[in-house]
Amino acid sequence: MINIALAKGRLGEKTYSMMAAAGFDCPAILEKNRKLTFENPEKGVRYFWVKPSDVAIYVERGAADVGVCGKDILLEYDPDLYELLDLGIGKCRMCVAGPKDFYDNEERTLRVATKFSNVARTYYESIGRDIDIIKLNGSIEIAPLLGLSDVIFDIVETGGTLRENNLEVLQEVVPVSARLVCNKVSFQFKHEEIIRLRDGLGNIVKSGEEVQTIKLEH
Amino acid sequence: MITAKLNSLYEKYGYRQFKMTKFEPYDLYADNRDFLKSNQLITFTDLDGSLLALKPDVTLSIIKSNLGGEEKVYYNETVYRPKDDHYREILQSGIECIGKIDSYSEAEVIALAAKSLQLISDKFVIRISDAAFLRQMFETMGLSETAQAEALKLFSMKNAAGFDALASQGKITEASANTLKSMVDLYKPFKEGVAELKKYAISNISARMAEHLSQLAAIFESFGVLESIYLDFSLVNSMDYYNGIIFQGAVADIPFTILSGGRYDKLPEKMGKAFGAIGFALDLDTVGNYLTKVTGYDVDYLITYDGEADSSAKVAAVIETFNHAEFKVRTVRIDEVDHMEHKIRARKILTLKEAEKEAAER
Repeated sequence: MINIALAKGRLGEKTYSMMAAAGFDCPAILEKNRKLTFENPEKGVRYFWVKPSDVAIYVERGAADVGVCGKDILLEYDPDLYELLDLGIGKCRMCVAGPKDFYDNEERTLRVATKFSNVARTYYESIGRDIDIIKLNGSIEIAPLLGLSDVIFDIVETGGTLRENNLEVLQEVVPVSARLVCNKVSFQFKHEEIIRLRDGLGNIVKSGEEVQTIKLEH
Repeated sequence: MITAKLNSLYEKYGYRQFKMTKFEPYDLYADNRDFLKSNQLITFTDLDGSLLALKPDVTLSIIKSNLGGEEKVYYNETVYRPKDDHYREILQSGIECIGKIDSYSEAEVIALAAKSLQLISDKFVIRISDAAFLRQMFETMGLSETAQAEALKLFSMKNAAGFDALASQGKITEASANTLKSMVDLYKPFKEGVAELKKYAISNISARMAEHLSQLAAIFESFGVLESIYLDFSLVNSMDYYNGIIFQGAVADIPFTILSGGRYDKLPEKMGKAFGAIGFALDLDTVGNYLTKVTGYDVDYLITYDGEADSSAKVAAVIETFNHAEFKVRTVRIDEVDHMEHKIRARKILTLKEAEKEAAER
């Protein structure tokens, strides 16, 4: 039995759809009830929903054997786990964004609002820019509008929110997509099942076919 | 207790117990920073003004105390290290084998690692990698220091896709990327793995290393531990410390690696000693946290007695009878039952009269 942590939201639905297409379906998850875990003993899987930013924690500490989470989370928390596959979904970019006419005066410390303080710190250290990190937990885009920060360091999908608020991408830092992650000890003791899951998903990614996303209650 | 079982295992193979004090001169750790997981130490000043540190590690002390002779030792010691932003006291058990390290000594240490895990759980795995083999490959491929560091990180995460990214940045060639990708994926029972590894041996030196690994496989077989040993190149941590074979162990019920070790000839060399060394350490705290069984009861019987009316001699007689039958018994005055500091959980709560009756029946 492999335990799979699904990230609540669209990413989790897409993940489950791909896993079902790879032969790891679980009808129980489609039922409307208040259950927290969903099992399909026949296929040897147990699914459960967790907060997207917690997927890596569940996997690192072995409560889930595998999970799917964004590369952004892996870069930020640097958890000790295996990153087995790039699923090619949930694609976005980690970017520096700011007002359209932004001019970076290098004499001043740059104020950066972000959820990803570790990634931001590493990036600015690598280019030798002195910064002041303002750690926020959401609504990052509002920070430069209210003068809380000069720029933001965040993930950008379409850039729609930025445009509507007169902001634009100033620098792309790293591309982000969803990754299949795995607990290092589970990999050893449930090796066959996990490799089967990875290869099943890998074939779907390689074929480039779009998997129909299944709507789920959670 | 697990420590007693481990000790007797190591003694069966002729290892001698190494005991040490809680602290060492600070200089020992300052001089050998590279061999410590963290630079942070708990330090304090001795009465004569010299600086001491609580030991963060046992291996350094073992190597320091050795005067150049061949030696096999084991230890159970507490070490003091930062973990989750705080200093922690961590109970460690381990062995070190010092001297001219040949294939037999290497295999013996790894076999003892496997046998140690066997005492903890039926389902266990030892993973082996060779730090020198990877380094040799990287150098033959002409990777820069930074590219090597990035490649190691990818190995440790089994991130095969990452090598394509490195290739597209021009840090490694397309051909190297493909070789490394299939090596990342290599996770096989040791004997099979080594056979496959031979095709990655791209120089004479790495061919010899692969040959050495297949020798080890034969010795593991004699020790009866071969089937629980796997070859896995995702195991790459502490390449500065280890210079050859590295290995880690895990058991099915604990989601973290609990045993790690390897060949570390650079440490004695740094201390000016002409011998090799190999050893491992086992994290007994994590083992204890996960595998200690919850009993559910503090005692078998909680006996209440009336402090004034009941005879104390009778209480004593009853508790002796029960103890004789190997039961745990707690006594308490009846008027104090509700004021106990720790609410005792007992299988049975009896008054003195009831207890006397039950004791008489035994």
